Amino acid sequence: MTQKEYRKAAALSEENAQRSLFDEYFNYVYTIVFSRLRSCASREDIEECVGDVFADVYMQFDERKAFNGDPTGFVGTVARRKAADMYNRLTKKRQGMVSIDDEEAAEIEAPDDTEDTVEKKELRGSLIKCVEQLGEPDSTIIIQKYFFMRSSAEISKLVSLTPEAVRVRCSRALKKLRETLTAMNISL
Amino acid sequence: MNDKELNLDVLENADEDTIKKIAADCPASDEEKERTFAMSRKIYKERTRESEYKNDMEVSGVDVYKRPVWLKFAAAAAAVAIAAGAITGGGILLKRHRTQPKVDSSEIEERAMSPFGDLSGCRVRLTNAAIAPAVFEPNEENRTALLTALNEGDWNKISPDTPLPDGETELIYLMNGTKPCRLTLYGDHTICYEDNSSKERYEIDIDTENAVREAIKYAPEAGDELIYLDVNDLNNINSVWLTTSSLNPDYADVYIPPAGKIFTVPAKNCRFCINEKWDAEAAFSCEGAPEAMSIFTELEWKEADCEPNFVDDICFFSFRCSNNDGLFNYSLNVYSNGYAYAEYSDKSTGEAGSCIYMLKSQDRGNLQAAFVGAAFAQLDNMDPAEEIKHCKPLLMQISRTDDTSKLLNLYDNAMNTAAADALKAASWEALPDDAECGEEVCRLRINENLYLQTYYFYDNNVAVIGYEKKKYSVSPELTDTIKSLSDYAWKRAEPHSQLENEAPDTLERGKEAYQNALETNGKFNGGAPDLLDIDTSSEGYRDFGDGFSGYLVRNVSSINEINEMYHQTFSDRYPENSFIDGSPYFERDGKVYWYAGGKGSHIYYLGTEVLGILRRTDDEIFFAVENSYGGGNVDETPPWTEQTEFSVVVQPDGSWKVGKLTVPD
Repeated sequence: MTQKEYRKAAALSEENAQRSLFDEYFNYVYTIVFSRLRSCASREDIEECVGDVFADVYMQFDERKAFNGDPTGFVGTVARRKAADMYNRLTKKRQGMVSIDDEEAAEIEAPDDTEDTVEKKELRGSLIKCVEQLGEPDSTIIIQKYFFMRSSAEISKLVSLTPEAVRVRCSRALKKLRETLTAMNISL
Repeated sequence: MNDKELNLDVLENADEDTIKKIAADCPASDEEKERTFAMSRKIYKERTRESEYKNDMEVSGVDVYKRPVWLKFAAAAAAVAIAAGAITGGGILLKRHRTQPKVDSSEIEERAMSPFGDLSGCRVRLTNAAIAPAVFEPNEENRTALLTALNEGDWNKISPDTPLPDGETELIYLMNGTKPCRLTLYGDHTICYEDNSSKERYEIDIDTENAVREAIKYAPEAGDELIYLDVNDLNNINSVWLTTSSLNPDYADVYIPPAGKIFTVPAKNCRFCINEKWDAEAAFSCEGAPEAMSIFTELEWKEADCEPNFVDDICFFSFRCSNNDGLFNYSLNVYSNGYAYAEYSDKSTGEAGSCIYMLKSQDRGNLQAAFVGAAFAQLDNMDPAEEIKHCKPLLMQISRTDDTSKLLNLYDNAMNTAAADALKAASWEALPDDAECGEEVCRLRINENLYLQTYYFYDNNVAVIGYEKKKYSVSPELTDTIKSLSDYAWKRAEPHSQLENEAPDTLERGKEAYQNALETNGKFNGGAPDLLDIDTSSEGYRDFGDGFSGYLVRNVSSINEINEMYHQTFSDRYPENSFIDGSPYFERDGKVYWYAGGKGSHIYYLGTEVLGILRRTDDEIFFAVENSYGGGNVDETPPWTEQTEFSVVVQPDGSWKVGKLTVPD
């Protein structure tokens, strides 16, 4: 949905326009936010952040001077920055002050660790490829369970299997994935 | 990894491609979505009520960009963290700690932004004097260093008119999502930012400049990938991205204006016609020419404020594309009056839309240039039979068989078709450049919708084509067919000094009428000074900014009024005897303006002679006119003639008006 389409729709019904925009980008925004906050935020925090992102996007679409084309990049940028803000807020709350003599301080990553960045990107690509090779529904189950941290009961609704069947398939898929990763010399 | 767990932390804060793949598996339930939507509405409503709300999420530039104060604290904190890491030792640095997330460098990078948004996810291509016209993609380390420097730099906007310094520049091309831009780094600590709609200039701090210069050094040994561009146009911020090692050439990205987004379709299903309306058989394929389609993203697609009558206009460009299952279809027609009609439908999603646009003349020119280039590239590899299928013959000229320097315009459609069909059906076997040619027996010149092509036929069944003088072996049947057409056409075009039952002074009157026609035509195209009151002062000149500019014609308020004057001499029997909006007059706001541009002239044109009378109908007399050309005083170009037709329409009172007129080049 472009800004122009949004504005046209909003002229008729603001809520419908916002819902269309929301429906189109929800998965994308949710995944960006979740990806950033999964290690430190609750689901409520994540929902709040996603809501916050869309509120900003609505406002930008209302106020921002016209921009053409696909707004995916724009929406993604807002989502990343909002998620980063919340990440910072949450981790600051938990960390408190860190003394440079503290052992924990040593675990703060150097800012210019580009080698790590390159490796991570390659690793991510390989990992996704290996997961995709599992085929459906196993790839979905693995991502749901280990990335989105959903329970077997929740996953069962998504893949139309019983929770028990999800657990069994998950276990087998994990074994298969592990073998593939080991063969590729990837250790997680 | 233990037996029961799989650590997917590596997918945290992932890159765009990974995010999009994972997003397909987004697990949020309908309840969660509904809750989140309600929350977004709530936050939105609260914020729109806040009069003091200040938008801090602006992605694009601001006048003077200053880094937020917090960033300086963050940077300071990061510096402490680096120091702490260095003191404690590198070994422990890589150890992961799940429960207490680290404040890593990317945190700071994400929060810092250049005046044109967060560049951290951009793809990068670089070039400089040593590399151009190739570009290179820097290794990941340098890419990250460059984008970090750009994001974190101090940018101070300066006047775009600031004089440019001498010396070499470095060009940095960025692709931020689907938005391309270019940064030009000058030797005076300034950077010029350009995207498809804006251009700005900034001063940057010396540390940033040094970091940028360090990061953009070409380092093939470190993994920089050199790319030779298919389109060597470093000024085009879009085409730089069209050549990639990973691009799948089977698919093309097409910007669909009514949808406001890009669709990816099989390249073989993208086809276009240039300088003519849509003709599926004549259409060129975009396969192998994806760069031409990038022009769609560069044009300003402004919705038209009225619905024009397309039927009366000439469609000079048409484009069609679809996906393999035919569910997605898109068509675009662009007309010479500036209007464009675009329509698409995607049955797989139910999306559909159409729109009429008004394109700027410059955009129309760019569009035409892009696709003419793509067409020429394909024509170069076609034999004449294929070429003629793609190029619509607009005017054919055929020579005499006994004197190939004498050319005759073929006005008869049946003869044009016969000649074109003969060329299409023939077999063309390429010969080496040094192949022998015998005696020239006929010459066929075709003014196609794309270019002028001349075919020379020889008595040893060799044909030579075009300026490049490509040689082909052709069948005796083809040579004979062309010769027969020539004999037939010339026999019909034989001029007579007098026709039976025709007044004896008809030829003399015809010669006078011809001279008068040329003068009147030239006068009106030059603004008809004795009939039109044109204000050629600076007050009378208007530039409308959309490619239309000219001088006000004070004594008329419509082009129809000018046509009434013109039709005192010219008959309205022929459509070309009426001026249409845009050539050389145009209407704006109830006024008429004249383009102050004259017709060009052929440098080899020597003169014209009315040879005789060709034929007469009930109320029209046709004359043969011969235009002579040659090097003359210019160079050694051998002379040739072109025989055309001129006619007069006999009025009920016996007077004549000009009918058919072919103005000599």
